[in-house]
Amino acid sequence: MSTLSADTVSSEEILPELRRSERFNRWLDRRMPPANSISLDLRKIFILPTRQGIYFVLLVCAMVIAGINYQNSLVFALAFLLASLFMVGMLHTYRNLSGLTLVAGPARPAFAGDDAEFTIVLKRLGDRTYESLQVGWNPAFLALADLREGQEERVRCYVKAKKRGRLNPGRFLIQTTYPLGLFRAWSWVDLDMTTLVYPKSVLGGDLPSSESTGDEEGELVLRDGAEDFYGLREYQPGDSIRHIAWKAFARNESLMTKQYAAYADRRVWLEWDHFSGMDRESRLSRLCYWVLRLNSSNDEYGLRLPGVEIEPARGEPHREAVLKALALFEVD
Amino acid sequence: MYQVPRNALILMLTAQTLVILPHVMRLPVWLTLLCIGCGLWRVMVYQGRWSFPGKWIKALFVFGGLIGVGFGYGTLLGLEPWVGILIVAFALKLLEMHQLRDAYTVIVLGYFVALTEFLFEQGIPYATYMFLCVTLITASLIGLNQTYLDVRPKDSLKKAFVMLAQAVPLMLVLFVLFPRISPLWTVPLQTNIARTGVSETLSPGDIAELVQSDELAFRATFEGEIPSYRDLYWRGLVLSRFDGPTQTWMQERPGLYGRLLTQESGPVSWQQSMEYLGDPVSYSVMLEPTNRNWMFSLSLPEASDLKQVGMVRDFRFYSFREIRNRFRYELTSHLDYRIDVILSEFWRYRYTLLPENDNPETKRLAASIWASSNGPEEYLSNVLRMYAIGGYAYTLKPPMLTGDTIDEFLTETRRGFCEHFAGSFVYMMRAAGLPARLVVGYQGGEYNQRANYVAVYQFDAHAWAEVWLEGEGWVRVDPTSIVSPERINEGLESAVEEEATFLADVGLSLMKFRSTLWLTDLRLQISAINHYWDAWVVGYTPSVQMTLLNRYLGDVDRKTIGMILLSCFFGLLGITALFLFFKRSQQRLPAIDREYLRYCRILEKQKLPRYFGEGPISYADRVVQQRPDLASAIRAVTDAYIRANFERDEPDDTEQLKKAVRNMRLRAFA
Repeated sequence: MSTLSADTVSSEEILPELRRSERFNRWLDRRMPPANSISLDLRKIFILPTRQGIYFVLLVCAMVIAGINYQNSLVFALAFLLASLFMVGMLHTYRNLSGLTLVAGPARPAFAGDDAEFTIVLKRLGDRTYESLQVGWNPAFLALADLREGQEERVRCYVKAKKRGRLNPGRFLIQTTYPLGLFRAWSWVDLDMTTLVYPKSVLGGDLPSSESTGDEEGELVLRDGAEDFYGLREYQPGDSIRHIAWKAFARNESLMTKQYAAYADRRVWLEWDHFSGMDRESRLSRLCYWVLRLNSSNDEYGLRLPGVEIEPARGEPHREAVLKALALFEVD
Repeated sequence: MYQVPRNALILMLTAQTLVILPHVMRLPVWLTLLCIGCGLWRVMVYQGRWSFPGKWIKALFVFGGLIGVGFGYGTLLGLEPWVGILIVAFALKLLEMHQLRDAYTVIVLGYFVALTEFLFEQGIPYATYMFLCVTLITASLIGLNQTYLDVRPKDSLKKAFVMLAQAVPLMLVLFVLFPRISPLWTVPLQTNIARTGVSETLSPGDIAELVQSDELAFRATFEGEIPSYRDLYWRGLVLSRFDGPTQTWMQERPGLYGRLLTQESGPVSWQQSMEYLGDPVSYSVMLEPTNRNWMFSLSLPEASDLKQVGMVRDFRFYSFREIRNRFRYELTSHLDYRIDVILSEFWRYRYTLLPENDNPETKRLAASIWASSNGPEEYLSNVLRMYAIGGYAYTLKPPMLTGDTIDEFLTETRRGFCEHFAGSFVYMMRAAGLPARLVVGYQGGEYNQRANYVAVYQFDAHAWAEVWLEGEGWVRVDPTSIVSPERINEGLESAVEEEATFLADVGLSLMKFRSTLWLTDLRLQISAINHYWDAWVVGYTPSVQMTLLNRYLGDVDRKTIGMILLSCFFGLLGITALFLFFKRSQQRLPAIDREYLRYCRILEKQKLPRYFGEGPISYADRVVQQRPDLASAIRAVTDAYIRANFERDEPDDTEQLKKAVRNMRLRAFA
């Protein structure tokens, strides 16, 4: 699970350093195995001078040579002060990562082709401040975070979800050049986070025909998507604002929700076989489209895939279950 | 496009202003205006009113700046033009900050401009000021690396100060131990700085002018007791040629001196004419830059092993290089001595040479005194008596002399300063055929008991005579002491007290308040601090370093010093790291939480880490399933922790928790 495979993450997001060799990755995995919570310490933090740091060393060398040639003690003193500052800066940069605890936060599933959102929680013990931390998978778009007041900070990072299935984005980079920019301290951390990647939703075909519609025989169903006004009930958190009876509210000062009803019972079965003649991914994409469509119109729908059957239902948990089934269908 | 964080920009502009400020005196006016203009332009760009200059305008600025510096200084080679170019680059780079890299360039240039200031000034005030500037530049470097949404210049400054404060001990180690070596190649030094001090020619009025300055000439630190005031004759120059047309005393042509007595030359013939009689006096002179070659010493100095320095035929020291930086040298002198008891015909001729047709009155006067004297010694004392009873007066405002100056002084004006008396005296001696020469240097100095040194100022400049007597060699004669004994025993100020001309042309000077006790005390204190600064910081040269290291570390070679340097440096760095990392570790956590975390770590080592946000009870439940063998210990800890944390907080609970955690550890690692 931990090793990075090019299948799950698009190649431009694998950090350049990590793209190098499989052996290096194995070494990293031994050194800092993936875990939900990782504290950065001596074993995990790397530190090297930046390009500016190297220029700074050259500056100090030039100053020392000036001191030698002019036999000027104060020039020496300034050169030595900057050399010492360089070393102290190294400690401070290291300190700006060390002791920081990274914890896997919630991840939000994505549709293939979109960005999956991962939340990384940065926590500190005590009152040591951390500044200008850069976190993320894509070196070109690192999220910035400070940890100066609270004890933790949540950072949202995005990874392009290329392929349906389970996305384990692997190691991300946390780095800092604070305070002087002369050193870069960094670590590649794997918080063992995964999220689902649903199929890309593609509009295709008509509404499958396995629905059973009936104006007469169906039971009266209260639901949001229906057209006919049915009555009022007390407002409950979660009710759509559009359905609040503002006139009633003006009359008696309590929030009421308008209820609509339809005599339609659209129990839809979304079936693998509806899209015959397409390959697996195209079928899943179209099924995905219909899941979203039916969910938004608050229909009941079920799913039938080879080896998978989900009874028709509605609501958010159901939607997630169905999408999960689509995401993981025939994924190793 | 890259936007320099506002925080960093504010600090950068402030630092730039402050770091250029001390240079302004030396810069052409247009360059100062250019700096101000660039700063204002950058502010306008920041406010969005103007845009960055185009490519052509920038090119115009760069070439204009270079040409301006070239014309302004007359050359592009030399220290001042280089600094000029550096400042042009520093100012113009402000208008070209398109990338983070450019901002770094500005900062590097800033550090370098700060450095160049030290090539001109090295006093304590400048060093302090430059430290502040470096703090500001460092703060803007920090600002560049802070999240740019914040404006917190104060935070950046504080961080910069803390980091520099932590760097200072490391710097001191490097400063003391880093091997100082001699220059790798010669570099241009500052050119157009005029130094006050004695010059190689002397005409009447020169010294009277020089003593209007209260600048420091040198300090001499004595190893033992400081000799008495009237013995402090600091010889610098010997003038033994009198030029008739200009009525000026000049140096002997150097070629006539023969070989110098140097470290490498081995013994020279005239060295044998030096006889030391009294006790040696050891002292070290810290000479302010003179841009000249001669050095100052008390008579009679022993041969020295200083490098690049030699002793010339008239027993003075001479540096092969012009003294452009503060120069420290150690000498030993014997105040009682005999030199040149036998003087060759050649030198006898040179030291009695006078122009033939000038100052006839003086020559006549000399002849008449010589006629009434019985031998050279009596002639000498008769001439001195002439100064004492002939109505001569010592004054800082001598009348102008024209034509035959010595005639005019001796017979008409009779009011003069030391060079008048010494010059006319030498002339009188030579006129009677006695070898004599004029010596220029300083006499006396201000004693600083705090640091056992004598500070010699320009107003201590003095001229006196040396006469060669049969059987005795060269003898110092100071005719000024006849006319004004105060000058020789107490110094110029008391000598001209009635006249009130001491430092009359100098504006405000602490030197004028020598009679105010507390001010004098304060001045001496400042002077002593400056002396130590000059001696141990500014004057920390390769030889001083070797002396110091040999004194405290014994006879060490470079390799050992290198090892000591590295171990001290990294040892201190380690201490700094300890200070940084463990100063506040877990300071915030109460004891019970510390105990609980200890318990979590024990389980973590058993590969059962607590999840983020997992409460103690659910954690315990989960872990117990995995490790039923630890169940009772885990429950004990969890219960104790919850009791201590949520129910009541008594010391007893903490103790129980501690016990439970100890038990847990024993069980887990059993």
